[in-house]
Amino acid sequence: MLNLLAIVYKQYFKNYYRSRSFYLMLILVVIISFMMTYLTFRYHNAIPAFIGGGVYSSLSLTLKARVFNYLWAFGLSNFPVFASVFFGSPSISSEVESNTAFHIFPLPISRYTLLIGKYLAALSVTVILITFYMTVQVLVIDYVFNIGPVVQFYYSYIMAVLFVVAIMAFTFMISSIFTKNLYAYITVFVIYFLIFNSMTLVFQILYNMDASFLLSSASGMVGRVYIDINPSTLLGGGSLSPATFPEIMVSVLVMSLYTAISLAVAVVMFERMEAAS
Amino acid sequence: MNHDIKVSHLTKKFGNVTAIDNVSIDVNDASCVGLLGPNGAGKSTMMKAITNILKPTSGRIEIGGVHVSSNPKKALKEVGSLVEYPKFYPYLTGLESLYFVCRIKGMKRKECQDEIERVAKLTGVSGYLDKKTGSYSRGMNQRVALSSALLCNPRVLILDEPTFGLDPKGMKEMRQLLKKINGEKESIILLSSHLIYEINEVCDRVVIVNGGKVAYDSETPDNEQWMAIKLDKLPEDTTFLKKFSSEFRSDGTRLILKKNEKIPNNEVLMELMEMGLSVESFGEYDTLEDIYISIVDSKR
Repeated sequence: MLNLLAIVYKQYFKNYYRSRSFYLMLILVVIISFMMTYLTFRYHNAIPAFIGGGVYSSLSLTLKARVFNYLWAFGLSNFPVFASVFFGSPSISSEVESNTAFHIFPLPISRYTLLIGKYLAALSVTVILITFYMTVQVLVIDYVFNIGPVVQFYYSYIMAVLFVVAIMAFTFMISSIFTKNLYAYITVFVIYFLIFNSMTLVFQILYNMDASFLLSSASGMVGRVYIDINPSTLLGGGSLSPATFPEIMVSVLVMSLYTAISLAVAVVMFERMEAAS
Repeated sequence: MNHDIKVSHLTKKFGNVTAIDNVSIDVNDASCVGLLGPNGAGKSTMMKAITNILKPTSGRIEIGGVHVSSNPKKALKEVGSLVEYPKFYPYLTGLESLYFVCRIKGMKRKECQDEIERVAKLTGVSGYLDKKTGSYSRGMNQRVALSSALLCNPRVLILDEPTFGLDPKGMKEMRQLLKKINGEKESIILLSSHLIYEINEVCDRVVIVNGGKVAYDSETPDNEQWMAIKLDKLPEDTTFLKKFSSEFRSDGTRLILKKNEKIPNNEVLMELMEMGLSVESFGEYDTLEDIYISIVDSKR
C-alpha cells in the first residue's frame, strides 16, 4: 500500500512541479516576497499605521520583529487559497475533463490510493512555495532586526502548513463533485471568498462573535501567533500579545476537522466517480 | 488461474436512457471477441463497465471470478485496456507514463525499462517516449495508450477502437499486432470497432450490439467460403446455380454462392457469361457485413 502510494505520489508530484500552475504560483510568491522585503527594509523604523507612532517607538526589538512577522503572515494569508485553487480545484474533475480517467481508472490500484497520492503531491508543491516565502521572511527579519527566528515563527509555519492541508483537502472535495474544472474553480472561490466572508459578517454583526468554525477564520492564526489581531474582525479588540494556546488549539481543531471531513467526502465521491465520455 | 470475462445481466442507465439493457456475455479461453455495433449501441459503455470506468446500474461483471465493482484492484490485475481516447498527464513523458503503469502492475523498477522497450518495439513508439505526452498528436497518443495496455503481458486485453486516430499504415500494423497476440493464444482479447473487416480479420468470435442489447453472437464467419456475383440483371430462376454450388441464394442485387472446391471461380464466371448473363463484379462475399446491416436495419 505504502509502496503504491509512493509511486502515485512521485508521478503526480512531477506532473505538478512541471506544470504552468506551479511556475505561475512561484512567480506570485516571489513577487509577494519582494514586496514584503521592500516593506520591511523601507519601514522597519517607521510606524505601521494601525499601531500608532507613540506606541511603536516604545516597543522592544522582539516585539517589533513580531509585528513585521505578522505583516509577512498577512501578506501570505490568501496565497494558500490561490495555490489550492490552482492545484486542488482541477485535481479530480480534470481526470474526467482531460480523459486521464480512461488511463488510470482501469489500473489495478484503488482510487483511494490515487486520491491520497495526488493530494500529498499537491500539498507538497504548495508547502514548497510557502516554505520559500517563509525562508525569505526569516532571513529578512533576521537581517533587519538582527535576531533569529522568534519561537512564534515556528508556530506560524506549522499553522500555515496546517492551513494548506485543510484548504487543499477542501478544494479536493469540491473538485470531486464536478467533472468540469471551471465549476470547481468557481465554487471554491465563491465558498471561500463570498460565503465564508458573508458568514463572518453575519456572525459578527448579528451575534457579536467571531465565526471561528470557518476555515477562513482559523487561517488567521498564521499571523495571530505573533500578535493577536484578527484582520477580518469588526468586533475591535486585539492585542500585541500572541494568541493564547487555547485559541491556537481551536484553530488547529477547526483545520483538522475540515481536512478529515473534506478528504472523507472526496474519497467517497472519487470512488463513485464515472467517466461517461 | 482463469481470466474469463463474465458479464451477467448488465444494465447501465444514464438518467432515463438505457445504454445497456440486461446484457450477458461470457468470454473464455484465449480468444479474440469482436464487438460490433453502430454509434450509441453500447459497445464503449460495456467496455467502460468492464474496466471500472463506469459503475453498472445492475448486473455483475467478473474477471477471473473476481467481481470488478467490489474488488477492482484484484479483478483488473491482469487486464490491459485502451478504452475511449485515454490521455496521459501532460507534463510527464511517455516513458514516465508507461513506467508508472509498470510499477502499478507490480513490476520491479529494474524490469520496467526492459518491458517498456519490448512493448515500444511492438507498437513503434520508441522515437517519442522521451517527449512530454502533452505534445503528442492523436496517433502518437493512441500508440502510447496501446503500449500501456500491452505492458506486463496482460491475460485480458480490452481494446475500444484501438485503430481510431491511426493512419492506414498504423491501422495495418495494429491489426497485425493483434493477430499476432491472438495467434499466441495466451490472452483473451475483447475488441470493439466500427470496422467490420478489422473484426473479421482479427477475431474468432463476433458479438453485434444494437440498442444496448446483444443482437448476434457467433463465430466470425469465414468469408473465404462464399462468393458474391453482381449481374446487370438477376435471373428469376436461380436453380441453374445448383451445378456450381450446394448453397446459394440471392440478396436482391447479387448472387451469393458457397464456393465449390471442385469448380474454380473462373470456370463459374465463364459459364455464367456463356449463359448470356452479364457479370458486373465478382468477389468474396462479406458475410459479416450482411449480418451486421440486416441487424442494424431491422432496428430502424
